[in-house]
Amino acid sequence: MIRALLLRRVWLLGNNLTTSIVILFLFPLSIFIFTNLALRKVPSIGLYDIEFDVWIYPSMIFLVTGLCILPSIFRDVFDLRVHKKVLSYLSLSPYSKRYMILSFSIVSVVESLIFGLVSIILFSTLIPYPFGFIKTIGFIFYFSIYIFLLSNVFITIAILSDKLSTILISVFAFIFFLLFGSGLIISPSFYPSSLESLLSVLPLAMVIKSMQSYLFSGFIDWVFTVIPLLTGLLLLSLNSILIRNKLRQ
Amino acid sequence: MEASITLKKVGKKIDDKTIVAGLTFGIERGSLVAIIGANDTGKSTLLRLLSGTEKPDYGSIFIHGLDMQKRKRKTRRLVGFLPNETDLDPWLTIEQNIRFSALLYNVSDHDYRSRLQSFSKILGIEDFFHEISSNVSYGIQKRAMLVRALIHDPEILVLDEPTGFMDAPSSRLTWDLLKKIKGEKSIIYVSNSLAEVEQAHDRILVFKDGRIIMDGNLDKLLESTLDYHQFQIEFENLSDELYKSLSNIATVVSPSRINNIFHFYGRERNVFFDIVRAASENYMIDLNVKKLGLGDLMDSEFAGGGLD
Repeated sequence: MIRALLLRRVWLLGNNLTTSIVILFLFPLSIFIFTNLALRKVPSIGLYDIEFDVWIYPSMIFLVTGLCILPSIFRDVFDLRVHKKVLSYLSLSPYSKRYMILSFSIVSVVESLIFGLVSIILFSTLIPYPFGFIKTIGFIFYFSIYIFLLSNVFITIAILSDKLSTILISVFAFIFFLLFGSGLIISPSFYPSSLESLLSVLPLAMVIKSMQSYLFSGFIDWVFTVIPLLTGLLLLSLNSILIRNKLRQ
Repeated sequence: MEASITLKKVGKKIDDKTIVAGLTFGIERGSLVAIIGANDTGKSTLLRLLSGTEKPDYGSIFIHGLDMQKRKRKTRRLVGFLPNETDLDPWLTIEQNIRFSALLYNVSDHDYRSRLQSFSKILGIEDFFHEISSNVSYGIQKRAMLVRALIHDPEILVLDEPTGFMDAPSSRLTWDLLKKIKGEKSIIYVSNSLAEVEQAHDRILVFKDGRIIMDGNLDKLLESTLDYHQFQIEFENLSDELYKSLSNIATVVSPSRINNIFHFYGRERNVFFDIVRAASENYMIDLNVKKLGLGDLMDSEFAGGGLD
């Protein structure tokens, strides 16, 4: 199933080649302009006492790739489901619902890795790539956990929503959280302490904090690494039950 | 003969409405079975249950002796499903849609190519392989969906309106294919085209309110109509009084009227003479008598009037 879904993504990109290429380059560029170029002039408290360009770099990649998986999940799990296309047929194939959701997640990870690679190539023309080989491996590890978790959150939203207005509002709210509450751009320490303690225990914020901790100080926070991974696996199980109920299978 | 599909007390409810009511029947391997009935009687729901698109609320469905709920992976490989509405991926080409299905079922490249070529040739869709599916007509999409349902070589085909959206030549091509594979595969289908069912049947199940009310081949089903004929007499002026007196004739079954046309069923042609006697003072413009077919059998008013 994973091979089928991956090939389908390639066909879909190929069938809309011009749009895909434009988005592939414009989207990372817009994230760079609106996060790096603008925010560098906003006085900020550096948590790790490092340059702003270095601190924001993984956040930009996480943002670009996190948001790039949204359309494909929206299309596969919401749009094609409510319009009674493909997903129902896909569910008749000889695989479990859990494997189906896992396949969607893995395809999201692979697609976002490619998107991330293109973004890194693009950014390297504007600012130097700040990490060595080992840290890059670590970065990919955290990146995979982040996309796995995020894709399952998007899948949950897409399964639970039956109307366009519902999913749009939910996704907008989630993107706002991703931008301002997850620690990607604004550290939770900027919020009042009560809100900070709430935001810091959200699994998405955990994996981001853990990634920053490893990349900028070399410290691996295993608790903040394992909890998001377990949350992703829990969501995977939840999503497989939700989709089974939604499809009445 | 060995059973291909067996249903044991299978039922389905949506909200509090019973859609399929405790069905028990079997379908032999290699047979062609039509399900007919009025709209909203549960035919399509039954097909969704057989295909695994939905699960029954109670009862069990066995595919080649395997319980569909307990042996999902195994039984799903045995079934190919063609839904009524087109459900192709609208952004992929016709060929990519079919290829996607082949990949899902791990069909080898060689088998995929040979099946694609063979079925597409019969159905005449080769010229549309590289068209985006949402850009072609529903009839072509439906034919592509049939190829997609066949691409993993299932032993059972479950088809909801196999010729839906199709013009006459496309319907003929589709039936050419179905007749070709009949015998190799069990085919169960729903159709509102009674003429097609009359021509292609092996066995016909008549569905009403989630139940099978008749089951058999065409001849057997029409046996129940005995020697009934359908009469239609057009009067110059069919007054209420005349309509009432004709309707009260004991041999007239299920009378109805449309303007000046008196419509009824009768066991023998002699009924006509009873009408002629009763309406001798009225001018008749036209007369039509025909033996009953599947369409009349499905006529709810006639059925409501009661057969012997």
